[in-house]
Amino acid sequence: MNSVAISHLTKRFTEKTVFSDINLTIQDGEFFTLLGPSGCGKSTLLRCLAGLTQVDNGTIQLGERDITHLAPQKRDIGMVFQSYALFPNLTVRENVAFGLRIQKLDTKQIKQRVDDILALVELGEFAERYPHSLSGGQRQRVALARSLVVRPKMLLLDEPLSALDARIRKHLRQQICAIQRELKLTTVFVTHDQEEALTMSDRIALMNEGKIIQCDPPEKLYIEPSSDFTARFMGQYNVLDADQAQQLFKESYQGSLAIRPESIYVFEDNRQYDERFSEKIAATVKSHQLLGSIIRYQLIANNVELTVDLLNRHAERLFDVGSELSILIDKSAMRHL
Amino acid sequence: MSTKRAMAYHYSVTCFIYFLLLIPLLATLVYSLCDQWGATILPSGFTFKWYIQLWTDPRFLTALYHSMTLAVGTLILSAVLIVPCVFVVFYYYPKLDTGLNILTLLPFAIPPVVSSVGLLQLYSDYPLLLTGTPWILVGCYVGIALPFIYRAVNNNLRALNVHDLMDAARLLGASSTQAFFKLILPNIRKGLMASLFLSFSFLIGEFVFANLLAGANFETLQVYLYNMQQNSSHFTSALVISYFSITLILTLLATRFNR
Ligand SMILES: Nc1ncnc2c1ncn2[C@@H]1O[C@H](COP(=O)(O)OP(=O)(O)OP(=O)(O)O)[C@@H](O)[C@H]1O
Ligand SMILES: [Mg+2]
Repeated sequence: MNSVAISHLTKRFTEKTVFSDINLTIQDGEFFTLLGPSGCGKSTLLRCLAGLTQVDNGTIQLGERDITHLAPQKRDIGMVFQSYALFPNLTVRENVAFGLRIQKLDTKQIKQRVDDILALVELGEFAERYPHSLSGGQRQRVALARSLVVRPKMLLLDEPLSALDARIRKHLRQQICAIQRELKLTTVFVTHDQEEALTMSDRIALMNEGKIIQCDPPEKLYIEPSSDFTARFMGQYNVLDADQAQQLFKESYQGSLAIRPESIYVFEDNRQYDERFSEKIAATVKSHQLLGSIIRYQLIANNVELTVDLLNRHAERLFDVGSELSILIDKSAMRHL
Repeated sequence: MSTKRAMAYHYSVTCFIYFLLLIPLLATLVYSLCDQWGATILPSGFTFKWYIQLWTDPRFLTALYHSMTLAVGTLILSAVLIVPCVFVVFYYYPKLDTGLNILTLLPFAIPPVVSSVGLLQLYSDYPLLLTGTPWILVGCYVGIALPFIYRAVNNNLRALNVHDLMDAARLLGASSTQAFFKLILPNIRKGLMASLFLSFSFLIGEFVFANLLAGANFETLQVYLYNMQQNSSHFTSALVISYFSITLILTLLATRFNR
């Protein structure tokens, strides 16, 4: 129904091509994420979908309709901005009701729908407040309610959580996902935070410099990176070129190799290791950081620096800087790029 | 203890400055309320007669009416012309902002005496015979109000996240015009009103253009004041105090209304 088909989409600003020949399809009801470093063109692509930026070439189809050249007012697309963009002269209720007022619905109906949506985002008691008296998270939820209340066919979210502190962000993430599932709303979410993308999405398109590098469900994107860039961007992959790989394993390699930090193990005497694992390799601890449930080590093994994540389980197993240990690498989890 | 003394010090300085600023006004007030203040140190003969004389003079009432309608009319016209213009430049053509900026400096850069000579030359002949009519003053005063309104509106727009607000409104189905009236205008209202009051008190006190371009044909308060110079100075004092009170009351009312 409300699937999206983007084909050959191209956008140039006078001196710079932001992206060219983008092809994507987004399923009806899918939570689709555009992930990529700053400046790669995510916002521009999103604004093209919304009709706020004119495209130079290509087509966008929403459901049965070609919306490439349709005015934003006529697209039935809701959008939440990073800056919230709440109307400062209106109360929360009036902000949310704005779109319905424009549609000239009758007052009773407007009140009903606004009340319902405010209850959905848990803001009922703030209805008469003005935006300036709300916290960042509350403002973002007002913005969400305001774009949902008009029942759009597609919802666009441009880094809606990046201005919030970590705890609120986690909570809002879950709330957005829950609402999206409940309404079965086709959603395009933009972020530069890979953790956010991994936890929320049905599918992620990883972008860099105006190109879609890889477009896959989160698990696949994380476990099977198809390129250097994906491997480096998703998590703390150790990406070794052919020379480094040869140095590390003392056997010859072609092309580069991606090793996830959690697929490197510290050798323990009383454990059996099957043929998935590499030979023991001697390593020295260079530094370590405590990240809560895991400890991240930087090790030097055969002159190659490796990042290794170990579960933070026993205090006595914290290795000090300079300690010598043996590591094993799970070869089945390695990716040849 | 020391903060108390500091406060007292601050108070006394403030009061002293207020007093200094108020002296001329107070003296004028006292002068306008007495019969004579010549040979003696203290004034003598408390009287309202100068005020009665002034407020029963039909020429004064006409001048007051002229000044009021001229100022209010000019400001309405300015607001209607300038606000959309500044918004359009800000939102659609930001490159034109430099030009507009220079334009707003012109009324300050060119002395009124100089520009009125130019205006007289331009508008004293067919097809634009406007000198001596209030219309030339309206046009000229819009130019004077431009910098005040431009500054205020432009600063307000800068403080507002105009682009995102407009985008959000459009995605919710509003046309650009609807968005302007429902969102942008209410948010710049305060700054706009403040600049209108400022222009009002400026225009009500304007003399050079009023005298040179319209003169006796359309006598405004300031021109009337000038023409009454040879009258008793008690009378002109009453005029000044009346003029001052009118401006004060209107400004206070407008501020209250604007809150
Ligand atoms: N109006 C514009 N005029 C010219 N260049 C622009 C314009 N808008 C964006 N760009 C350029 O397009 C590129 C992509 O910008 P975009 O805002 O889409 O990046 P982004 O991926 O959203 O980055 P971020 O994560 O920082 O928001 C940038 O190099 C930017 O400089
Ligand atoms: Mg962006």
